[in-house]
Amino acid sequence: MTKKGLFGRYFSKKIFYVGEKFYQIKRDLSIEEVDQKHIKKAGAIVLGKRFYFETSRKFPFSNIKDLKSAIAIDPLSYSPFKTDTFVIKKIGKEKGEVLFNLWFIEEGIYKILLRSSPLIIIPETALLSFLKSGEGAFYKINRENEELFVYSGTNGMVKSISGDVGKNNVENFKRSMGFEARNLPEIHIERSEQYFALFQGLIANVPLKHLFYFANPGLFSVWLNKKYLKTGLVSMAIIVLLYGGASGIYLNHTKNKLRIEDKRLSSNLSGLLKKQEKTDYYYKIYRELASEINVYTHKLPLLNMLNDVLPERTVIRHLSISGNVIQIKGTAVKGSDLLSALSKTRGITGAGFISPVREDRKTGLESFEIRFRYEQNEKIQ
Amino acid sequence: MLDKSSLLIRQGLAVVLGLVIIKFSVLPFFSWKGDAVDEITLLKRSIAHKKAFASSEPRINKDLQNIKDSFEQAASFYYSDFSDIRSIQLKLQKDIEKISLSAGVNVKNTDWIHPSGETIISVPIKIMMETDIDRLVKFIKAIESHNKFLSIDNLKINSTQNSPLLSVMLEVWAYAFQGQK
Repeated sequence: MTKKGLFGRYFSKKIFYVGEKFYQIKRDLSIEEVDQKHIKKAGAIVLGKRFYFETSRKFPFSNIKDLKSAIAIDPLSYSPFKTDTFVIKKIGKEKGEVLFNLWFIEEGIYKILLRSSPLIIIPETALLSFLKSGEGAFYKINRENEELFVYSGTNGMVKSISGDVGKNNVENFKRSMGFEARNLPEIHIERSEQYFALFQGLIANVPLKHLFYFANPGLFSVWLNKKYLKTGLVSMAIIVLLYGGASGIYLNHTKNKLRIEDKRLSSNLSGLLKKQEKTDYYYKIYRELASEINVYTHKLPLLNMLNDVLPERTVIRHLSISGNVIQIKGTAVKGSDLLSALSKTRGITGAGFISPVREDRKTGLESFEIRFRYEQNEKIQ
Repeated sequence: MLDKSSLLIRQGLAVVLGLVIIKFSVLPFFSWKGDAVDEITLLKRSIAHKKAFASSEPRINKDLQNIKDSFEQAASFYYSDFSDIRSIQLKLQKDIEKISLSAGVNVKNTDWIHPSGETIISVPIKIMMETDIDRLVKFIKAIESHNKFLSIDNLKINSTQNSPLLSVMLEVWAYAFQGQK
């Protein structure tokens, strides 16, 4: 399979011919006449000459969008009947102008065809231009009740005429195509079956850029494809609901499962939790009880310490202990020696005179008043 | 023209319906989903914590036994099993009388001070006495080595040049534990 025919082969899977009668051209090249209702999900529809008007025109611009706008302004100056549906194929440039083939499709048949949502709608004469692409040819196609004459130029331009058998003369048609067409080969297709059998291969080999010319313009129309839009929206809604519902159910299930597990563990742990609570309670109370004992400054060691520290001939007349603050008042040989001795003692902090030291001239002793703090080191752990 | 208006109305209604669905279905759903995910995360943490906790039962038992022993040891220094706080004060006074008698201290006056505290109740008694230093030391030693925790606070000792006796004022505090054992 060549890259060129990749899309064409896809579109050629299900081909319908829509002419006087409707036919399906199957993959095995068998042809079956079908009812209009049976044209469904068509890959490609080859449109019979009777349903379109074919012409070629030159325009000063090559942009297809601009061309469509120009035709939409006054379609009746291009087509014998009013229609919004037309197919444009760019042929080439001639003397500064751009030559286009135009096919105007009847509205009635187009609305019918849209129901089958075809991917491409290609006029039968346009399709024939790809049979001898680049070479050009005259085609005379005999069908049951009519003859179709098609001129396909070397540049790809197509002109055609159809009529009852014997009504049109091929020589006249050839002459009307001009001097350059006189040497083109003439191909006769005698039977409809032979003609329809060409479609499969032709569509499969149409280059992608040419296939775009014949892409169904109404394929993505929202209102014309309401059915598909509805199907799409409903599918989307179902997917969203399924996703939401499934994730919701899963989350809810997981949550409930975990709650039950948590509850079960909690009930199993209630005894242990009570023990832990009890431990915390005992610890808290123990801290309070021990703290009360630990902060207490024992007085006996304090008195013993003072007894040891006091220098010779030191007399304390007044001792006051409140908490761990001690205040002493008395006489000593030298107040500063007492203060120095106290300051050096372990556990005593902030020792200092709280009133001036006075000397008694009679005894030669100094009166002092000292305050300090005492911290004991022994604690209950 | 009519078709165009009807199309516009339909499109408008579709947009409104979409917004209503988003407001009252999609957003609440995502909010619920977020909450559910948060709750699941918390529950998972809680379960992991509880499983770890369940595996630490022997350690908790050991901790409980240790702290209970320590608590009982500390609580033994406190008065307990009492019906009334005043009964502790009375018991304290009796203990002080015994101690002062054995120490040979002459207690001149006692005064009950108002107890305070809730779990640990402090029960103080103010004492005034006259004694010599040796007996005072003996008295203090007996108080501080009592089988219950008794503390001495606001101790004031005065001596005069002409007398061997010390004038002493102090507060003896007993403590009671009022709580679950």
